[in-house]
Amino acid sequence: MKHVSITGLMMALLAVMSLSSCHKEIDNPPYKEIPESAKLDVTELRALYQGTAIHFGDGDTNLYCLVTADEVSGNLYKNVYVTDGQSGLNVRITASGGLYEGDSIRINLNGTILSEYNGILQLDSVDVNKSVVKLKSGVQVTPVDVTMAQVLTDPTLESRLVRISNVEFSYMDAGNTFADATNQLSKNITLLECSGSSIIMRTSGYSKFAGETVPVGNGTVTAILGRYNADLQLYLRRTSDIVLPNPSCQPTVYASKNFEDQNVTSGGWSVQLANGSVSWTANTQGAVFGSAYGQISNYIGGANSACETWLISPTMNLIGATAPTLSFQNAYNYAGTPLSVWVSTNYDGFSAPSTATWVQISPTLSTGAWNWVSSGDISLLSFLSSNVHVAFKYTGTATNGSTWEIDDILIKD
Amino acid sequence: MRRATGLLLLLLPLTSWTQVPDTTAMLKDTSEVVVFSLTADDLENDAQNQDISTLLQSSRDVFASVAGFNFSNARYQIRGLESDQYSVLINGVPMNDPEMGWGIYSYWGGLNDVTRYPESGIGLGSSNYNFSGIGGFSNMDLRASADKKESRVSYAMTNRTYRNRLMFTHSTGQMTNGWAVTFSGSYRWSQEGYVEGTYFSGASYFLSVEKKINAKHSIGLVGFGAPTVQGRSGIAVQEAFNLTGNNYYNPYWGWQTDGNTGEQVKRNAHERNNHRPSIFLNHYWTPNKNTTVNSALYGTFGKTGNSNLNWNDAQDPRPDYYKYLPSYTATTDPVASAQTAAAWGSDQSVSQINWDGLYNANYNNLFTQNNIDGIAGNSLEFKRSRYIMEEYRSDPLQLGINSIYTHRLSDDMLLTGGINIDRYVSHNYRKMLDLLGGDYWLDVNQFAEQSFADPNISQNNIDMPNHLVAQGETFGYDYNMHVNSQNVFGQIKDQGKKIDWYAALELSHTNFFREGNMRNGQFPNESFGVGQKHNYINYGVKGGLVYKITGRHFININALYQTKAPYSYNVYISPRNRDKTVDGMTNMQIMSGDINYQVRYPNFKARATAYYSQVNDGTYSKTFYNDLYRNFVNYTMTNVDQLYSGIELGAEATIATDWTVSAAFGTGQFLYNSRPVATVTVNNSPVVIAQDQTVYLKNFHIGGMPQTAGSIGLKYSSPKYWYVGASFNYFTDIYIDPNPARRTEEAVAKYTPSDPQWNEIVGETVIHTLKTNKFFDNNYTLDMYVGGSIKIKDKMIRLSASVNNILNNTSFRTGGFEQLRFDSNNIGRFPPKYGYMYGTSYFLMVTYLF
Repeated sequence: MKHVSITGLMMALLAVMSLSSCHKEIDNPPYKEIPESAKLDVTELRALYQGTAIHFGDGDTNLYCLVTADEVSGNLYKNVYVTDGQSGLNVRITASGGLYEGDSIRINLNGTILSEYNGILQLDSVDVNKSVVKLKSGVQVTPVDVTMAQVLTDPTLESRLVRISNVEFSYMDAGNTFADATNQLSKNITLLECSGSSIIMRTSGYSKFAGETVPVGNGTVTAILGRYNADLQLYLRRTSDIVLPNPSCQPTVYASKNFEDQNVTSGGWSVQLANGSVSWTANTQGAVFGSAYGQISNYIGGANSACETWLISPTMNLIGATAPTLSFQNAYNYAGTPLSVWVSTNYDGFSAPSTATWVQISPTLSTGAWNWVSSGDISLLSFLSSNVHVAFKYTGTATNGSTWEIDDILIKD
Repeated sequence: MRRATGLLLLLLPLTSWTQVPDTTAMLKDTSEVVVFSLTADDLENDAQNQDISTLLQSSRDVFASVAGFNFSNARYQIRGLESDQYSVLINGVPMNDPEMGWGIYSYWGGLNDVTRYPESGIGLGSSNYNFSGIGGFSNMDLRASADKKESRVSYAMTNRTYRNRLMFTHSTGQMTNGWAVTFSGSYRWSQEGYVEGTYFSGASYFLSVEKKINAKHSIGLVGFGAPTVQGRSGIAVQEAFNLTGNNYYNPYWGWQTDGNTGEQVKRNAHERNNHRPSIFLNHYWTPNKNTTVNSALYGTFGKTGNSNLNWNDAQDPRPDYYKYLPSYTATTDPVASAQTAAAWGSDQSVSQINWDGLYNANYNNLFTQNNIDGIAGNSLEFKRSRYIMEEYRSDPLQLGINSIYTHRLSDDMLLTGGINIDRYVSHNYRKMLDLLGGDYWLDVNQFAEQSFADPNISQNNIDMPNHLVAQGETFGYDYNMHVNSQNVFGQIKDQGKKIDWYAALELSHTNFFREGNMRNGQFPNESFGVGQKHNYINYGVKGGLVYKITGRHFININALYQTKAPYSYNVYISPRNRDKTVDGMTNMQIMSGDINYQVRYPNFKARATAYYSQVNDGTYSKTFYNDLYRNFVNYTMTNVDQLYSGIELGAEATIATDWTVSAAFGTGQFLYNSRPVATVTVNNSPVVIAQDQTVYLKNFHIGGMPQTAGSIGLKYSSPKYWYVGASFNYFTDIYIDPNPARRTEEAVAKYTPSDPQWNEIVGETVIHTLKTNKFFDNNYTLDMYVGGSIKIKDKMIRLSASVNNILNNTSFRTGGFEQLRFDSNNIGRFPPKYGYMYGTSYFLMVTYLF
C-alpha cells in the first residue's frame, strides 16, 4: 500500500510536470512573408526593363541572386556583379563593402532603381545594410564557358562572369602592367584570339593587381563581361583567373616600353649619364601613342648644356630568335645632334656605356617639327646573344640640342 | 522537503518552542550535517553570481544539499531563482541589499566557522524570522551563547579564487558569570588564483559578546567585517579563448614594467576592494514562559569599490575589444587578420592589457587647459591622462531596528510577529585611483564634447568646470541613493495529529529617492539635490499545510501571493547623472505554489516536489557602450514576467551498513513569459532611441544556469570516524539570457523567418539541450571527497579533502551573456561571451579543535 501510494504520487507529480513542460515555441517579432510572385531572379528583373528607368517603391519585390564579382581586389568600386545562372546584372551599392563573391543574396528592391547607364543595365542605389539579406556565403561561383565570338555577339552575356577559351593578351601589352598602379589610373589592354578578334580588358589603377605584369601565353581568361557604351569590356577579378598554359601565337616580346606608367626606368630600363646631368623624362603633353611618352632635352633654364645620356633596355636573350626586330616611334624639334640607336652584346647592365662595345643601327628618324615617325622594323639578327642591350643615345652641346620624344619601344621576334 | 530544518521542526515532535524558555540560545545543532568544504569562493567572485549554495551545503534535505554542493559549480540555482528571492538573515535581521535585493555573502566571507550552520528553508514555507522570499531563507544565528566552548584553528589549501586560508575561532560558551564570547578571524590569500592575473587578499574578523542579565534578559553585541581586495577575472568571446588556447583567458590583466626594477609585473585593471562591517546590538527578552521578544539595533557601513580603466581621446585599452580581434578583418583583409591572430598567440602585449602603452600615451599628451575650475585666466600646461584607473564606489550606511515577537498560544499553536524599520543610503561616486603617469584627468564628459557647442554641456560638474582631477579625488558623478523601508509580518503555526498548517501576512512600505551631489552639465536641473521620492506599499500572504498520511508519509502544500516594490537599482535610467526613472514602473506581483510528497524511513528518505512561481511586472535596466552612438546607451524594460515551474526529486538510501546512495534530479522551465516594453536612451543626452518598443521575449529561457540537473552519489562512512564519497553530476538545458534588443521588430526589420539571419538574431543562444546536443557533451562532472577525524584525549584533528571536476573537464560552458550590442547584418561581430567551469579544483583542510 505504501509503495502504491509512493508510486501513484510520483506519477501524479510527473504528469503535472509533463503538462507544464510541454514545449513552448519562442516568441517571434511580427513579420511579412514574401509572396512567391514577388520573388524575382535576374532574368525576370532584366525583362522588366523596357527602356525607361524603374524606381521601385514600397512593395515586397525581391531579387534573388549570387554575387560573382566583388570589390575586394579593388578593381570594382561601389558595385558588384550578380547572376542567377542565366543572366548577369551590375549592382551599384551606396557604400562600399559588405558583399562578397559567393554570397547568395536577397535584395529588397524598395528604393532601388533599374536603369541603363553607359549602355549597361544596372540596379542602382542598393543600400547593403538596409536592403540586402545574405542567405548563404561561400557558394561556388561558376563562370559560363564561351568563345570570343560569343562574347562579341551574344547580348545575353552582359554582366556575366565568362570564361573565354583560346585567348591571349596582345604582345603589345605583354610585359606591361594591367594598370597604372603608381598614379592609380585605369588602363585598357587587349585580349585577342589568334584569328584576330579582340576585346578590351579594363583594369582600375586602384586594383590590387594593377602593378602586376600582363602574362604571355594562350589559354582561358575568366572575367566579368561589361560594357562602356559601344565598347565591350572585361573586368578581371584576380590574376589567377588568367590561365595561359599554351604557347602564344603572337611575336615574342623581349622588351618594351610605352611610358604609360610615366616611369622612365620601370621594366628594367636604365638611364646612364655619360656626360652632364640631362635625363630622360616621361611627358604627357601632346601624346599620340597612348597618354605618355619619353622625352629628353638639354635646353634647361633658358640655356643648352652639354650632355650625353643613354636610355638602355633591360638585358635580353635573343638566342633562338628567328627574326628579331626593334621598333619605336619618335619625333623631335629644334636643331641638334640626332638621336642615335646602339646595340651591345657585352654591356654589363650597370656600368658606364663606354665600358662596352656598341654597334650603331639605323632607324628611320623623325624629320623634326614634332613629327612622329615609326623607326620601321630594324633587324637584330646579327645580335643573337644572351646579353643584348639596345640603347638610345642623346647628345647635346653647350650651344644647341634637340628635344627628342620616343614611344612604344618594342623588341620582338 | 522544501525546508531543510524548518519542516523538520514542523513534522517531528521537536522542540524549539516546547522547551523551557530561556533567553540563552539553543546550541547550534551541528549533528548530522556533513560539511565537506565551505568554499563559496567561486561564487563570491562576482556579486552577480551570489547564490544560496553556502546555505544549502549544510542542508539536511537531500536535494538541497546536492544542489548546494554538487550543482553550484555549474551555477545551478534552486527553482531558477536569483538571490533576491531568498531572505538572508543574521540574527533575524534581513541582510539583502536594499538597492538590488541580492544576498551577498562575500561581506562576511572567511567567517565560515561562525556562519556555517544557518537555519535554512528552501522554497515556500514558514519562517520564524520574517515573511521571506519564494526561494526560501537562511538565518545565521551569531549569538555567542549558541556556541559551545571550543577553540579551533584551521588551515586550508585550495586552487580556486584563493590558495590559502588560515582561520582561528574561540568560543567561551555560556560562562557561569553570564557572559559568552566568540571571536573569529581568518586570512585568505593568493598570489594568483585559478585564473591567470587574479589575486586575492581577504581578512575577516568577528566578535560576538553576550551577557545574560537575568532569566528574562540577555544582551548581545555582534560585529564583523571582511576587508577584501581581489583582482578579478572576466569572460570573453570564444575567439579569444581559441586564440590563446585557454578557456580561462582573462582580459582584465596585462604586463607592466616596474619603474624601479625594470621587471615585468602582472597588473589587473579590475580590482574589487570591499569592506562593509556590520554591528548588531541584540536584546533577547523572555517576558514569560510562552513569549520571547528578540530585538536588534543594527548598522552597516564601509565601502565597496570596483576599479576599471577609463579613457578619453584614445584607443580602447581592452585587449579583447572586437576591432582588435582577427575576425574583425577576416573578410576584408585576410593578411592583417592572420597577423593579428599570430600576435594573439605569441604576444601578451596584444592579448592582454598593454600597461606600458597606456603610460606612454599619458606621458606624451601635453595639454593646456584654460579657465580651470571656472576661474578666468587660470591656465596650466600638464600631462593630460588619456587613460586612468578609476574606482566605482558605493559606500553604504544602513541603520535599522528589527524585532521578532514569538508567543505560544497553546501547546500546538505558535504566533510570530516581526517588525523591521530600515534606513539605507549608499554614496555612489567615481574616485580617481591612478593617473597612470599623467598629471591630471580633465573632468569633462567626452561623449557630450563630441556633439555640443555649449561648453557647459560637456561638464560633469558645472559648479567646478574644467576641473583637473588628481589622485584620490571624486569626479564624474556623485549621488546618494536612499532606500527606506518599514515592514511588519505576522504568522501563525498550528501542529495537529493529522494536519499541521501555517499562515503568514506581510505589509511593507518602501521609499526610495536619489540625491544628487554634483550638477551635471547636460542635466543641470535633474542632476542635483533631492529627486522625486517613490513610495510603494506592498503586502504578501502565504499559507501551507502538511497532511500526515502516516508517520512516514507526508504531503505538504504551500501557496503564496506577494507584491514587491521594484528595486531602485533597476528603475533609474541613468542615476549617475539624472533623476529619471523608467516609465510605468509598478510593484512586482509574485504568485507561487508547491506540492511536496515526502517519505522518511530510517534507511530511506525521499522528497518529490512540483512547484510553480510566476513573477510579474519586473523591471530591467542595463547600460552598455554602443559605437553607433559613440556613447553609452541605457536599456530599460518594464512588464517583464517570469515563470519558474518544475520538479525536484531527491532520495537517499542506506544500501548496506555504512554505505549510502543518494540521488537528486531537478528539472524546470524558467521562462520569460510576457512581451516587455523597452525604452532606449542615450546615457549622456536627452536622446530617446526607442520608446515603448515591444520586446518579443515570450517563452525564452532565463539564462545562465542549467534548468535540468541530476546527480548520483555514493558514500562510505566508516564507524572509525572517516568517510569517503563520490558523485557524478549531469547538467543540461543551459541557455544564455536573451538580449532583448535582438528580439524586437526593429532588429529584424529587413528579414523574414526564411532568412537565416532571422534565427541568428531572434533564436535562443543555447549552451546545451538534448534537442541539439549529444547527451554527453562536456556537461558533467565527477566530484570526490574524503575526510575523517582523530581524537587525542579531548582534542581533535579533522582532515577533509574534496576534489571537484576530477576529470579536469575544461570545456564545460556554464554560462555567459549575449552582448547587448549587436549588428543585425553581422551577428557574429558581437558574439556571446562565455564562461567555463574550472577544471580540477581541490580544497584541503586540516582543523585542530581544542
